[in-house]
Formats: sequence, C-alpha cells, structure tokens
Amino acid sequence: MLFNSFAFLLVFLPASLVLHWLVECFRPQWRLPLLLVLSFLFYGYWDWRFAPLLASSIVVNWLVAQAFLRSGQGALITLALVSNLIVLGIFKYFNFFMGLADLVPGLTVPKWDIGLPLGISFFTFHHVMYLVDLKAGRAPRYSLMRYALYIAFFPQVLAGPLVRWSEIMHQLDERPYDRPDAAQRFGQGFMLLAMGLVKKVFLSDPLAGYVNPIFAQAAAGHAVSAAEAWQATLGFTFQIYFDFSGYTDMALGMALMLGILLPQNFDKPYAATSLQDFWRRWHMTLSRFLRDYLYIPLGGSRHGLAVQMGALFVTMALGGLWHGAGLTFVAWGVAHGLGLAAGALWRKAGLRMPAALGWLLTMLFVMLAWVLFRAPSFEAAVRIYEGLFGLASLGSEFKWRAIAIAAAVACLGPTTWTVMKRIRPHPSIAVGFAVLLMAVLLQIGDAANYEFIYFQF
Amino acid sequence: MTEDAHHHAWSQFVLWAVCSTVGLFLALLGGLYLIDPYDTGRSPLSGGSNLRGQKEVNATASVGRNPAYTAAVIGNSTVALLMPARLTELTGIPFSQLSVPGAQIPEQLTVIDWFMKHHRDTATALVIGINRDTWCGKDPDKAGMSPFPFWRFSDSSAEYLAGLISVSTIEQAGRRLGLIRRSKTQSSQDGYWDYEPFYAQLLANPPRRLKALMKREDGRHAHGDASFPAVRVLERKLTSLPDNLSVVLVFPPVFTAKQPPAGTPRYVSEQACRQRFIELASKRPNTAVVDWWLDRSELKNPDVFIDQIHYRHPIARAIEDDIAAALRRMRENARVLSPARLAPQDA
Repeated sequence: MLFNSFAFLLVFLPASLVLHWLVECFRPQWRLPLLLVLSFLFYGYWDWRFAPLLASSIVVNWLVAQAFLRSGQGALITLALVSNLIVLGIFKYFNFFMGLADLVPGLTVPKWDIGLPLGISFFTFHHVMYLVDLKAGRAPRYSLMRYALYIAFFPQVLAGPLVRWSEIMHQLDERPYDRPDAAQRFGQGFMLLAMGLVKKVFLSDPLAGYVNPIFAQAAAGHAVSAAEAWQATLGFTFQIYFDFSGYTDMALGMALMLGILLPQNFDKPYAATSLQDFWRRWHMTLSRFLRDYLYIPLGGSRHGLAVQMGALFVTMALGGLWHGAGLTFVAWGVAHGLGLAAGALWRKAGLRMPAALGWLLTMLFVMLAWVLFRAPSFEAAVRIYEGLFGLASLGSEFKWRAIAIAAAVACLGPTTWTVMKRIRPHPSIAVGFAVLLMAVLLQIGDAANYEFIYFQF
Repeated sequence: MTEDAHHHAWSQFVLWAVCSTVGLFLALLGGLYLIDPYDTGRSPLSGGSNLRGQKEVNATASVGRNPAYTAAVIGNSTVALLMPARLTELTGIPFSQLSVPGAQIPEQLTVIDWFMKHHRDTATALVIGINRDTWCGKDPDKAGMSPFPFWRFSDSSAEYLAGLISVSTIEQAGRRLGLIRRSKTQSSQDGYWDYEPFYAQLLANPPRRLKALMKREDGRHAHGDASFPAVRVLERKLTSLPDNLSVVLVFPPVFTAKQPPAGTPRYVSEQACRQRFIELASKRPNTAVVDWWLDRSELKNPDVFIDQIHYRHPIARAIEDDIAAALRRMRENARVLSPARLAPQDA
C-alpha cells in the first residue's frame, strides 16, 4: 500500500503504532515478531503472491549464512550473491536482456511478462551488504527473526533507504520506549512523517501533472515546444526530488516512531557545486553502497587514473541499470559516470571552479540527465532535448509557479531533517503538525495519488 | 533546560500531537458526516431531499433519494437533455433526471441501485440510455475516465466515511452551509440541468464545431467483443428489478456522420449489438425500446447537434414524446393484463 493512501495512514499505520506500543509496554518479547508480521502484511497487501518470494529470499539467504558460519566455505556466499542477482535479473531484467538479444539478426528470443516484485532491487542489495560483510568477517550471526526484519522492515522494504546491518541490528534489541529520548524520537518521527507527506502531496504530485503529459506527448512522437520541454525537465527535476526525499522522510519518521533510527538519504542535493558533491547528497545510501560494494572492489581511486575512470564508468552504468531495465537508464548512469570522471580529471589537474559556476553546471547536467531517466525511450528523450535546445517551436505556456516554489524549497530551504532537529517541543507546534496532516489527508482524498517514482525500481 | 524538563516537554509534545491529530480527524469526519454535504440522507440531521448548495453534477444522490420522484432517467450525457418535467407532464409519472456525464456501465448501475434502494416499493419507471459506445464495449466492469463518486452511493459506511475526507467535500459542505458562494448553474429539483451552456464556446465557433461534426466514421473497426458482455450485465440488473417496474431502453441518436457505412465491420457490429438489446427488452415484461439508433432525416441536420453524440433540444423533445408513448403503451398493456396493479392516477 502507498504511504500516501488512506488504507495506510488511517488504518495500517495507526494500528501498527498502537499494537507496537501495547506490545512494547506489556509483552516486549513480542515486539520483533509483531514488526515482522506487520512488515509482511504491508508487503503482501500490494500483491500477496510476492510475499512468499520475499519470505523464501530471507530464509534461503539466512540458511546460506548459517552454512557459511559453520563451514567457512566462501563459495557459499559467492553462490548466494550470484543467486540473488539471478533472481533480480529474472524478475527485472529478463525482458531487457532478451530485447538486446533480439537485436541479433536471426535470433528468436522468448519474452516473459511477469510482475516485478516491489522492492526487489532494495532487498537484494540488503542481502548483498550482509553477505559480503559476513564473508569479510565484519558481520556477526543473527537469528532468523532479526535477519528477516533487517530485510523486510516495512518502512524501508519498498524503496529504502539502503540500511547497513550495522546501523539497525543493535536497535532491534533495544527497548525503544524506555530510552530517555523516547518521546523526542516519537515526536520527531511524527514531524518527519508529516513533512514527508507534505513534500509528496503538495510539492511532488502537482508537478507530475505538468510533467507526465509532456513526456507522453514526446513518447507519442509529437514535437515538444521549448516552453513545454523546459517545464517538463524542470518539473521532473523537482518532482523526483520531492517524491523520493518525501518518501524517505516518511520512512525515517515511521521507523523513528517505532523506535528505529534509519540513515538519511538526502542532504540538499540541488545545492551541490559539483557532480561528486551531488552524489554525496542524493540517495546517499545508494551512493555509499555503490562506493563500498562496487566502486572500491573494482579498484577505486587507489590503483591509478585508468582504473579509477573505468571503475567510475562501470559503477555508474550499473547504477543506472539498477534503476530500471532500459537502455535510457544505462545512458543516464553512463552520463553521470562520464561527468564524475570529468570532475575527477579536473581535480587531478588542480583546476578550480567558482562555487556559483559549479552549482550552475551541476544543476544543468543533472537536469539534462533526468530527461534520459524519465523518458520512456531515446526517441522521446530526443523530442525533449530538441525543445530544450530551441530546435522546436518556442511555445507559449510555461507553468512556472509550482516549479518556482519547488525550486526555492529544494535549493534554498533546509532539509526536513534539519527542520525537525531545530524544532523545539511546544504544544502549538504539535497542533500545527496535526493541522498539516489533516490538510494532507484532505488533499489525498481529492487528488490523483501518484505512486512513488522509486517503487518501480 | 534540564533533562527532566526536556523529557517532559517532548512528552507533552507527543501527547498534544497524538490527541490533536485524533481529535481533529474525528471532528472533521464527524462534522462532515453530520453536514452530509451531498445530501445522501445518512446524517441524523438530514431531512428529506434538499438540493441546497448542490452543484449540478453532484445532485444525483440527493435527487435519487427523493421520494417525490418515482421514475428516473439513467445514463450519461447522451440522455442528459431529456427533461423530466416534460416526461412527467406527458405521462403523469413524476420523473427525475439522474444521468451523469461520462458515466460508464458501473456508474450507471450504481445510480440504478441507489434509486431503487430509496424507492423500493414506489418506483414506477426507469428510462435507461443505451449509448452504443458505452453499452457495446468489451469491458462492462470498467469505470469511466471521469471520476465518479462511488463512495457516495456505497452501502459500506467505511467507504462513505473515507470518501468524505477531501478538499472538494469541505467545499461542498461550505456551499451547503451557505459559507461558500454557490455555483451559478444548479440542478432543478428533479435533477435536470441544461448542458448546452457548457458548450457555449464550441457553439460560438461554427467552423470548428462543423469540422468535428462532419468527421465521417469509416466503419473499419468493429466493437471489441462480439458477445457484447454488457447485455448480460444489464439482463442481470433488469432481472433483479420488480416485474411491475416499467423500463424503457432508449437508444440515443448520433449525428449522421457517426453512422458507420452499411456493410462495414462497425455497422455489422453495431447492428448486432442493437439487436441484442432489442431481444433483451422483448424478454422482460413491462419493457420497451425507444430506438433512435439508425439514421433519420432529422439527424442529418447539423443544427440539431452540438457534436456527434450530443443532440440539442428539438431532438430531445422528440425522444421524450417517444418515451411517453412507450410508457403509455406499457400501461395500456398492464391495464389489460393486470387491472389490480393500476397506479392510482390510472384508476
């Protein structure tokens, strides 16, 4: 179920919080089983057929971990990692690779239209993080219950953040409401949830109405005017930020209300003054995953410039492919890989760039790359680029107000995390957030509720 | 701030946050339930049907439950111009207009259910618009693109309460209480509203209107499912209605250019669909067809159409005459077959 749906906000979440509070107060030993049951209910609500897949994925990976701990056979972990990637490949990339094979003349390839299990990209990476660290001797053994909760914890299971086992496991054994800062955490979680909903419902979703028709127009092969192209590109730039960072705020807020602190995922990415800076601020938990589990194992920056460039390129291309089974996503990743490589060369050459110019170039690069990310095909992307670069008619209508508000909040405003940390506890603020939640509920009741963009990954 | 004071302040914050969220939500929901913005009759404060503050497209629930009207026109915009007051005048049966623009089959069946629920023993007639594009389609379970408030007509209290939570319901509540200015166009008490003013822009641009009007149907594409599943859906619905309820299936006309050329797949498909509905009507007692499906000389005049499926008043009056005649015939038959069932005004 969507975080921004009545089923979740009016039924599932309140019931979860009440049950969690009752269990924590009266039967603390039931806390983890309760959270696990709630997580599977949440996951199965979308499509119950995928719940067994998640369950078996957890059990099999846990059994492999146990077998490795008993035998010390590293091949077991390698096999598990490969198997996880094969499962991900079958569900997410089968048709993509078959489509590529289909380009070979004379080759007939099968197609397999199967639904994509939600969150499979995220929980696969969670398995990878634990198994790699287990093999390296960094991760200890965990019970099946704790491991299952690490993978399936409902605030994070569908779209992250990508949590390291070391960030969450110790919290599972705490008594969250016995902590001296329990009320503060709950209150701050409540505020994060409300602010995340506001971002999604009042900032991101209205932009979708400005963006989707224009990309659909481009996908249908129609020309896109300059005004439309800029509206769609700018609109999507801020739509995806508020969509994903809003989702993350909600996830962090709910987890905090349940006594779990999850890592932050965004730190004003559109204030970045270089592409490297952008990736330190955008989807931070993915960036560090790619760095620690792909870029560094591929050689990183300590084996010469050529290796570093290659590692950057491969990491970002695979990062692009992780986002979606399409060549446009690969192209988006490759573009970022090339941009990061250019930045690395610039720094190696000892060149400097004024912060303002760095910001402008970074924003332009990120925005132009988002076109590849959002367009359903290269042809559609070309239509948009034609409009952006003045190769189409000028157009007349440019809906700038919602974009301007979103841009101001994204580029100039503080992050929700900072706001939440700054707020002092006062009853009037609590009531204010309650009013904000009511406004969100009323808006949800009226507006078209868009799925979170990152759910598809 | 000491640690204790800090802890106390946050505890108070959480208490206020939780209590005010729950309190505001319950107050909002309770208030809207009592106000009953769309006059569905669920509130203990609701009296009889009262259209106060209803915008024309929102009047269906209120009009549909009004006991003063024992007959209703059901359908989408293709039967919206039929005037219930004139049908009442011609037949003596108090008619209401419950058509909803853009309504597909699930929406129309929902409105039938709503009307019958509130006229369990009093309903005398239903006029159902069988628009060919809607009723000959392949998926009778698919709702239309225009959002339709199923929740307003739902038997589920939870669904109704969830539906109440929206900005538009708040606005409607404001209109109902007289706090927000009412919209200019409003339904009359019987649910009728004239759609022609909504097309003023198109009517003021004859070249554009004529271009759209004259676009000829090439007839190449037949309807999706030759078994016409909507016929079975309507059959089930008609079977559930009381036998003594008069039902008129109206096939609304289209402009001549929309008629598929004879012999084309579309033509064959449409005729098969039309025949199925005629057969359906023949199987049920007290059921008649008012058939404006085929081309006629009066349907070739561009002045009597706004676009290819929305006719204007002269055509609407002629269809009303046919409906009234069909109802009169049914009554005559009923009088012959079962004198005991006569309505008081017939006695």
